[in-house]
Amino acid sequence: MANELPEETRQTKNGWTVWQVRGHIDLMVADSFFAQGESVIRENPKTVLDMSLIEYISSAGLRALIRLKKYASMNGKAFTIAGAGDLVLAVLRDCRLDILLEHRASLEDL
Amino acid sequence: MTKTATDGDWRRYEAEKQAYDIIRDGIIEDAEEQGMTPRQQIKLELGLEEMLVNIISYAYDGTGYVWVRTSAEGDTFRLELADHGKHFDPLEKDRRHTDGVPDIDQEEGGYGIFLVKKNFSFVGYEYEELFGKMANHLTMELPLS
Repeated sequence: MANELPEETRQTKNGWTVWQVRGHIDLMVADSFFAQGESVIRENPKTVLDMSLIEYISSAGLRALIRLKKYASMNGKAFTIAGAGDLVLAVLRDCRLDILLEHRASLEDL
Repeated sequence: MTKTATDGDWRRYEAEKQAYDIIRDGIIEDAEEQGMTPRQQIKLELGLEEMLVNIISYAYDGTGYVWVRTSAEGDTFRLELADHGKHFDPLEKDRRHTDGVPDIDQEEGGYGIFLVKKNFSFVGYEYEELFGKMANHLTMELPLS
């Protein structure tokens, strides 16, 4: 299992730092994904993960998302998610993490 | 479309992290050949990652093997995983909070088994003799479409 870095971009919108990640968030990249997110959250007061280019998320990715939410909460930062496609959103909804992580349909809803 | 039953042979791999990609790709390739839709392939990958990683990470203290067999009958794809590691029923491991919205302070794990049970039409575990020893034998079934 390779430990590859997810491809990411960062930009600002409506006072939020938009962290966009592309591809599969599975066991192979979950630790790198968490480390990237931790860095973005640490450096910015409000972070939104744009999930529109995430094609797949496994339970390892879900665990990373919860850890990022905890990290943000413990450090007085805002962290939310937006734009998940049908397949990813279905996984989030099955686990009710769309509510915990306050999923927005799009970045326009921030 | 009615598909005939196909029973593949057991394939044996080293139960180690380096083999994960090869095992996963082989299973997904089998599913594609049986006509599984991309949406169902995502569910299959979710399930096999959870179960396969359990075997690779925890079944053996040292080295060991994982056996994989796929088959299809009608609209159902069947995946079987077996190992000679420690006796362990992964289906007992659903730790997810099932009532209401999860709490931010809850344990982070448990989603994998929950998703497997939710997405697969059948998941079964047996501890039985296979390949000359007692084995953990997991069977998972998923509609092709």
